[in-house]
Amino acid sequence: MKALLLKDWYILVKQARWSFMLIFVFIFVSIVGKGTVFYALIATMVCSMLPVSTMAYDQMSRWDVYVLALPFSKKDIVYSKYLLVLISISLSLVLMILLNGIVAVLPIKAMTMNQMGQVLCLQAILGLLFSAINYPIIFKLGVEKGRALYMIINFFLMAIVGALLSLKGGDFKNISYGTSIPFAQLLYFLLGALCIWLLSVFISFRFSNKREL
Amino acid sequence: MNAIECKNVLKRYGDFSLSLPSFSVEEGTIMGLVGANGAGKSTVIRLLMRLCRPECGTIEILGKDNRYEFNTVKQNIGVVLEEPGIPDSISTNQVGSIMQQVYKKWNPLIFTDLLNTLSLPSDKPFKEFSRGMKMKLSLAIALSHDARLLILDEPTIGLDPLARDEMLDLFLDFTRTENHTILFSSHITSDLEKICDQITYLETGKVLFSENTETLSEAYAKVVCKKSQLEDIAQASILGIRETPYCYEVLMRTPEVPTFLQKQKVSLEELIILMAKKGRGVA
Repeated sequence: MKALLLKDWYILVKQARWSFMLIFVFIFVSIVGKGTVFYALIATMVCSMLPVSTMAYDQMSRWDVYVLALPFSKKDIVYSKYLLVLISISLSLVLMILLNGIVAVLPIKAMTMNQMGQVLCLQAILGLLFSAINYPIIFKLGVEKGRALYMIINFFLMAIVGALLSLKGGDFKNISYGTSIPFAQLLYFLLGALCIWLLSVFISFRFSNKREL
Repeated sequence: MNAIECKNVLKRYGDFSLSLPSFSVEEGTIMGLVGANGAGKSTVIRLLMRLCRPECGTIEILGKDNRYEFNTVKQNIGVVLEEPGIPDSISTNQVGSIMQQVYKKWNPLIFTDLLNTLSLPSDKPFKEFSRGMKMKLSLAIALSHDARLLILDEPTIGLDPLARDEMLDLFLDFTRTENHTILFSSHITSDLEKICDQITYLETGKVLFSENTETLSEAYAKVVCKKSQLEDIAQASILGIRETPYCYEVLMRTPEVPTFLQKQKVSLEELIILMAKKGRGVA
């Protein structure tokens, strides 16, 4: 497992520098902006996409076949990608905390602890759900075909969320810290997202096991 | 003991089917797998490494069924696939760091030594390597973790004659240890003749022969004859035939050559060409 993560790290350092930059900028803007959570969520989505990028490179270089000739099973591959998404989501949360800490010592208005807790929960929920929905599709169809399908699914999901928010008189771009869902409720949502995510690991493993390379 | 043993294995891909009713590689030997493009050589290797699943049959590698706990067995196998499978942006040093985490018996000193022997740079990304260099790096990985079995799919492809010779010497070095075994597929029959103890020839998914290299040239013979003489040869004895402007070249089992014809030694390449031409109904 460590070897698989190390290989992904080498790839990401070389190939995903712009993604790292984007994550940093989005989180920074989210903190110093007008208290909107939108950019923080986008940063988390980019983090959730990082393992998908590594899967695309794996497929392109035929590592996805070679790795199965090494002492790894399909289960190891699936677990490593889900572990990677967990690590990247965690890193986006840590970055959020660190940047907010830095901003707090500057004469710029930073988030309160309560606001921070809510944003971190929202980021974790989105990151988990995003990977939980998309990864089984990729493990079933491969990156090329899977990418087209999950873009369609994500578009409809966003449209549904947007429609629901507008029905409640809200605006996705302007969900303010601390004024939306109570923190305790968010923790329940987080737990639910984690359960869906674990179910997704199981489904991805089933798909990956059936798929012949 | 057999390092590889397949029994009643069948694999289908659309119209193509590969059948291995009985195929084995004895421990301590080098087996060459030869056949035309699409004959099924890579499929055999994919089946052995469980990169694909057979419709039926059993495959044992190093004495263990490859359906169960195969990861432990894979620690003792060095593999070179047709496509090396190393990501483009990764350097040779990084490959070493990754493989150190993959194999319990990874030896960085042997790896560095092989990189020097094979003239491979340690800091260049994989994408800057030529096809030959990529195969060499794959082989260096396969040889750096004290494997007992090497499974190599066209490892000498894209190599110049000198590099090929170096690689073949590495294979021979590897089999100096008593229980070390190699299965390798190749189009280059001279490579196979040079180092293999046994040769298996595949034609459209079927094993046409699997013979000891030393006895191969004695088991088969070529006869050159005219059309009138050809009619006197029993059709069942003809394993392969090639028509030239002046005569026919006929491949037969040595004991079946009629006394009125003169036997000629047949090289592995001729043997394969003659068999393949008959299989395709060219003659």
